[in-house]
Amino acid sequence: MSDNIEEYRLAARAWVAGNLRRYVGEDPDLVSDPTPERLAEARRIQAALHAAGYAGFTFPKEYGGQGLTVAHEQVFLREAAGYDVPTRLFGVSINIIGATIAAYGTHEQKQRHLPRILSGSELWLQLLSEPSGGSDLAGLIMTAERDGDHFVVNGQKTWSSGAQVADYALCPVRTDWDRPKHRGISLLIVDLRSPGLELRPIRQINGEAHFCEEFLTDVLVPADNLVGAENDGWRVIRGLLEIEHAWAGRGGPKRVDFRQDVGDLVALAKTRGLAADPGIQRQVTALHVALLVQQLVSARVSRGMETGKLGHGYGSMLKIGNDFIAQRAAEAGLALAGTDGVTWPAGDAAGGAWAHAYLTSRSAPIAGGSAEIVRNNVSEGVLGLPREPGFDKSLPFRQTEHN
Amino acid sequence: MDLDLNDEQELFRETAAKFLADHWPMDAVRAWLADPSRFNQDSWKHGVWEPAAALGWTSLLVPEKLGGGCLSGTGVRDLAIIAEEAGQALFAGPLLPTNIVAFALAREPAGPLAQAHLPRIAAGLELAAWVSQPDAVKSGVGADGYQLTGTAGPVQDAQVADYLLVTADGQQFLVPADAGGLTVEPLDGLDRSRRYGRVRLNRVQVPGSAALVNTRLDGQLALALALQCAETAGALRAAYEMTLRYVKERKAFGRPIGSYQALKHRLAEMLLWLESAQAVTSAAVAAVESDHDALAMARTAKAYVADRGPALVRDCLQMHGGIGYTWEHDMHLFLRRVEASAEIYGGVAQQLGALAPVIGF
Repeated sequence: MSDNIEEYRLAARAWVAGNLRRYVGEDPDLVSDPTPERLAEARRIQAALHAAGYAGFTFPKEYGGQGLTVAHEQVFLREAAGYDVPTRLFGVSINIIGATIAAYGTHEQKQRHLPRILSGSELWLQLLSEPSGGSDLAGLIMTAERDGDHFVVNGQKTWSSGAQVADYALCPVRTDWDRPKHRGISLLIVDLRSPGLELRPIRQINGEAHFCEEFLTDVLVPADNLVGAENDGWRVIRGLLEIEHAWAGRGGPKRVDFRQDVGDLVALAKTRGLAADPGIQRQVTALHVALLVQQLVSARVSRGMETGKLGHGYGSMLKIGNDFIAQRAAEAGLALAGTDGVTWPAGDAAGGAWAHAYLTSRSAPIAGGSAEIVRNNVSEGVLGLPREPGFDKSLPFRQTEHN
Repeated sequence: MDLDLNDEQELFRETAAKFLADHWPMDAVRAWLADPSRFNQDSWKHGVWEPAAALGWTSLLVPEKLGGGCLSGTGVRDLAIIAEEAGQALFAGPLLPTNIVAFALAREPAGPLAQAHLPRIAAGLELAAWVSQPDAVKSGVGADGYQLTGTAGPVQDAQVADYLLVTADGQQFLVPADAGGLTVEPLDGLDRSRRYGRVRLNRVQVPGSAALVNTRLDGQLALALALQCAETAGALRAAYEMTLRYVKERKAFGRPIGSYQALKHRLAEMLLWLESAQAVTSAAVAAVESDHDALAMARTAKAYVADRGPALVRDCLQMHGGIGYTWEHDMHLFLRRVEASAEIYGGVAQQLGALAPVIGF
């Protein structure tokens, strides 16, 4: 196994060097809100990755994947670090939605969409949150009514990233208000260019606007677009969330060079004349330790899940550590920067970097499952602890309290 | 627990667990707590230590020609498996010190010290302790070689050792516990399931043949830290599983206390600490085994385990409420062990200070 991985690493290294472009400065994949030109370029790169066998590492070969392991994926990503690869742009599409369709979709859905998702010709997103509820996902009220071989969909979604440039979405809807909350939900594939679908951007606390809200008015969706059975969508969503947390745990949308992150803090401490302070040294070194340990435990969990020794709920557990580190690192940066971190010359974009990183870090334990929901999932799903009693499990949804 | 054990290692682990269940149940821990002098009795050596040695607990780092050996070829990893089980059972024998001394002697397999002592250590006939403090003892010229003077402590298991490996001025000497001028003063301490002593050397005469030529303190410290982390990881698992069982059974206000988010959210976080402690310990053990970046990785493990380990057991005790504060409940024994181990061989601040240059300070 390790010999194979070593061979794979060398082959990947050679291919990367011969076929990808090393970027200078900022990673083009991390530029928010890509231009149409960048989008086209990213799609070309993704198509080349797919053609060479470097997309969909763990997906079945039958549907355009490679039939390999997470270890192969990690090896490739490490080799491709520093090169222009659109792993963030297509991250959700491939690693969350593609993986969910591979696990729960019909043969026709897999055949039709998976090769196109892996090659970047289809960009997908998930429309999970609604203004009426994010953490309580099953409290969703967007409604789909069956009309012959179509569903008619009405309602609002929010917190979708990249909706302006995406092609399709996975979208849970309520198909039966007279069943209990979790048993009246279905999951639909929605074409984002459907008539009756309107997008609006949302401004975040860091000033950026990466997210949209979507308004759906009498949008028609073919009944063949059901993923899982009608009213059995909640089971698929649980699976999707586990897939998402596991992916986030093993590095998520872009493998961050952790040592580099801590390196920024060391450099900042030196700039501020604080590098000789043992307390500062210990604080930053503790972050380095936390990052290294998080990488090690992520590898342990990935391996454990592959061999079946650990259940899928362990993927959610990793998010606890990632969120913690993201916030502590940003807080340390802001504190080390001192007054320069909280004030800077008017118009100096670089001056606000630590403040921006700090504000952005506030989203870590909210996005992709809040800290509280993740802890519920781990304690119930992995530890087998009982759920808090609720009033929404058995009553018909229309009789429960909801937003 | 290491998730990548092969069948032989799994069997090895089960054998160790069964041995501990038979020879070191909680009743035994309690009995030794009440009367620590039992450790100096032959009945303990014959009844517990020699049978443990027969299972390979003291021979994994000893070369085959000198009575040791391990089937897997990964002696440190196998030893870590035992250390973890031993930690889970709060085992009190000198597992770490004796193996560290074996590791040090085995670096010179042809030397007189290895030839004379390793077969006896492997057989469980000699117990050893390591005086790890690098600057506490001074060496000078003695009548037939060297003369050692100084005071060092705490030394784990000093009072039960037949031999002490003493670090002095960058060299190491194997000194018999009954050498003239050497006294061991037992220390009281937080962890009552284990002994620590202060070693006083007053012009102790040692022959030149008692000196190790190839001293590599870094490697010994890395081994000590990695095994100590494995032991702590075992103790943490025991405390955590005890707590998980308790919050599922204990009822308050009409339901199990483990159903309250105030508790279950903390338990979810503690699971991450437990798994992380295991992951970083496995990495440290592998680094020691391959002798690649060993001390930095072992310090990383200790910096994490000595920080989150105590935090985990403290909360385990808290979740038990009043019963957790009683002497009769076992939780305080784990708390004592984990808190004390966090400091022995260097605590969090010391490890972080030593690691700071690694990231560019």
